[in-house]
Parts: sequence; structure tokens; C-alpha cells
Amino acid sequence: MVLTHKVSYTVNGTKRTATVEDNELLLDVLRDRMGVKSVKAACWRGECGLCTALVNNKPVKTCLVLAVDADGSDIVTAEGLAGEELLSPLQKSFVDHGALQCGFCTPAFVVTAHHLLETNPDATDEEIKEYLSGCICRCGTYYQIVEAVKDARKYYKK
Amino acid sequence: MSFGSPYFTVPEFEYVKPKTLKEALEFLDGKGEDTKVMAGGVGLLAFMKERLIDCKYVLDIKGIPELRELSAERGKGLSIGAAVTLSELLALPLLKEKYTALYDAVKNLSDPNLRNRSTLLGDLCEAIPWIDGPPPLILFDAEVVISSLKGERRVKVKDFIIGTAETVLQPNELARSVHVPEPAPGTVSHYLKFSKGTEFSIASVGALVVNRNDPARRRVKLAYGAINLMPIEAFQAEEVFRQDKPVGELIGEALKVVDATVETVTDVLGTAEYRKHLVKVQTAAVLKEILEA
Repeated sequence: MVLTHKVSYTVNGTKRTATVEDNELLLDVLRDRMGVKSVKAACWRGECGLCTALVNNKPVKTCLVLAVDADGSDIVTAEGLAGEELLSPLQKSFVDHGALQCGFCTPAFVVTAHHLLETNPDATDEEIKEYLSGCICRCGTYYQIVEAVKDARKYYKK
Repeated sequence: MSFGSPYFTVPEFEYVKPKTLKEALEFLDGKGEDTKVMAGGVGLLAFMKERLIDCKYVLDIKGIPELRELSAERGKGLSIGAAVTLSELLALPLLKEKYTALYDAVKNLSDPNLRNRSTLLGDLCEAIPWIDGPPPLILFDAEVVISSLKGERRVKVKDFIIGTAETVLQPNELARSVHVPEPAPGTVSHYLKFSKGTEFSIASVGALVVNRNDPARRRVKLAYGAINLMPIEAFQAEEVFRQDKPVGELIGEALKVVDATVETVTDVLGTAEYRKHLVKVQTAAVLKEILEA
């Protein structure tokens, strides 16, 4: 029997609550109940990485997380990176380097790269490539993405 | 939201999240037959979406403090709780230094975002042919610690998997941790896998050597994954290294024995012949790495 649970998350700094069923995914709750549309639904099986969000400050593929399991989590998505500004420096760097074509994968790459540079602002080229290997860009703008992230390292150095 | 297709939805089940090990074991004691244990959920939820697994209850073990324990004390070996993520394991400084083959395997297992959720025991309990856990754990003679209301038992990783997606775990039991004994000083190990990008491994091999500069006491271990339905240890090829001969000659001899004794299978990922070729190339590479580098 499916039960319902009351869950609460902090999404981009705002407290949000929802009543979810046992078998609901965090991805669906974020997109359909909370209107967080930067978290993309594409492969639904943990391969493409486009549903990545920072859950308790770790990049996680939300299509493989139960909504009830994430109860109490602090969730940050691309919408939460910029603050008062229109775009964060990292996001601007993506624009400056033409690191997107269709833009569907961009939020996932941005949040994953943001987490990398927050924890390791001196990340080497190899470390950047390895860290972003969980996300797929079907337009193939990988070179520009890595350039954008390399260029954004300076914004994260204290 | 659901589009009605299996990939997008998870079948119905009841979610249970115990706070103590006792609570979890009591639950499994009564309802183990209808329950799937979930740690990271990465494998379980993917299989459930594809309707390969259907169960009445999902038991989430992440809330149990004992299962989150990760300890690496000098002399005592490594103890990895069932809910410890692969990222947490990788962050252990001792891992690369002492347990190199295990580090190599975990470092190349799926991708960083998935490693923030997935666990080593989850990988082992899936027990499907292409998982990365068994070869390095067999090299280090690791054990799975299994708990039930009746007590605790330990099973060597080489005996833990008994078939495709089949382990020795009984419905009332919970795999609580993996214990990896500390390797003898001077042990060198390495693990290599062949896969297309971050996808399933098509062939993998781990090798380990103790006393590599002393032919009389030298011991080599070789373990394979993804080439057959179950992980394989190449006992006959290991015997070759007991001889006192130049290393290059020994590797050549070992490759002949591996060719003759290690059996590979054909499946959707590759043919038996292709796998045999990968086995030989990779075996030569890991042996060179541990014996000559």
C-alpha cells in the first residue's frame, strides 16, 4: 500500500513543503510541485545527469532519489546560484564562452561545476573533466564548457 | 508526473526508514521476503523503473548510525558500513596508499554525481556480472559482515556472490559492512577496467603482489570481473609467480595460463573472443604495473 508523507525541503533558501507518495521521485516533486524547472527530466535512469541538483551540498541525480528520502534536505539548483544578480559569474562565463547550444544541459553543468569550484577552486583541467563526467551534452559543447569553468576559477579564489 | 511508460515511474511500494539496526533486523525478520533493502537507491530505483524488481516494502538503511561508520585504523584494516557512499570512501587518504586496487575501482565506478549516493555494499549486493566491487575485494580477501536477529556471520566476498543477481543473503539478513583486512607491508595492487565511457564494464582485472622483490616468498593474486557470470580468481596463473625467473618471462607464462584457464562469455556487451582479448591485454598491463613499475 502506498502511503503519503509530509516532506519539507529548503529549496534555494526558501522552505517548501509537499505531501508526497512513497514512490515519488525528488525530480518530479521539484519540477511539478515546486516549479523548479532548471532540474531537467531526460533519461530518468541516472545516465545523463541533467536532473542534477545540490542536495545537502552534494551534486546528486534527483531522478534516482525518492522524494520522501530527501525530507529535510537543503536543495540548491541553478535558480539559486545568482542571488540578487541576473546571473552568477560562473553562469556569465558559460555565456561568454558559448558553452551551450540548446541549453538543456546547462543547469546541470552549472551546479556541478559550481560545487567543484566551491570545494576546489584550483581544480586542474583533468579534475574539471572528471568532475563533469556525470553530465551529458548532446550538442557536444564540452570543450567550451571546460573553458568556461576554467575561466571561472578566478571568481572562487579567496 | 508519469507518462505511463516504465522508465518514468517507480512501481508502488511502502517506504520504511528504521532508525536503529535492531528495528531494521526486526522488520526483515518478519517481512524480509517482500522487502528490498535500499542504501543509495541508485541501482534499486533504476531496476524498479525498468520493472525488473517489484517489492512490497523498500527498507531505507541510511538513517541507521552504525551503517554510516567508516573506519580505517592502522593494523586493523578497513571497515566500510553499508550506507557509506563511494565519495566518502574515496575521500579516505589511506585508500589510495594501501588499498590501491580498490581505489582504482571506486574512482572509475560510474561518475562523481552518482558516487555521492551509491555504496560499495549496494554494488556487491546487486551481484550482476559487470559490477566493480568484487575483483579488488577478492584480492584483499575482504569479508561481508551480515547481521540478523540471530547474530552475526562473516562471508568472504569470493563466496558472497553465488550467481547472477544472487548472493548468500537470506531474507531475514542485512549486509551491514565490508571488512578489508590490512594488506601486508609492501603490497602493491592495481585494477583496470574496460568500458565505453561511464557505462558497464566489459572486462576488468585486478592484480596484487606481496613481497615482489623476494621470489621465494612472492605471492601474486589475479581476479577478474565482467567477463563471466561471476567474478573469477585465476588460481592457476597465480602459481606461475612462485618460480624464480625474470619477471618478463613470468608474465609471458602467466598470460598463456590465463588464456587457457580463464573462461569468458558472450552477451550483449561483447563476445567471448573479444573479452578474452581484453583479458590478455589488461592482464599484461596490470602485471607490468605491479611487478615492474
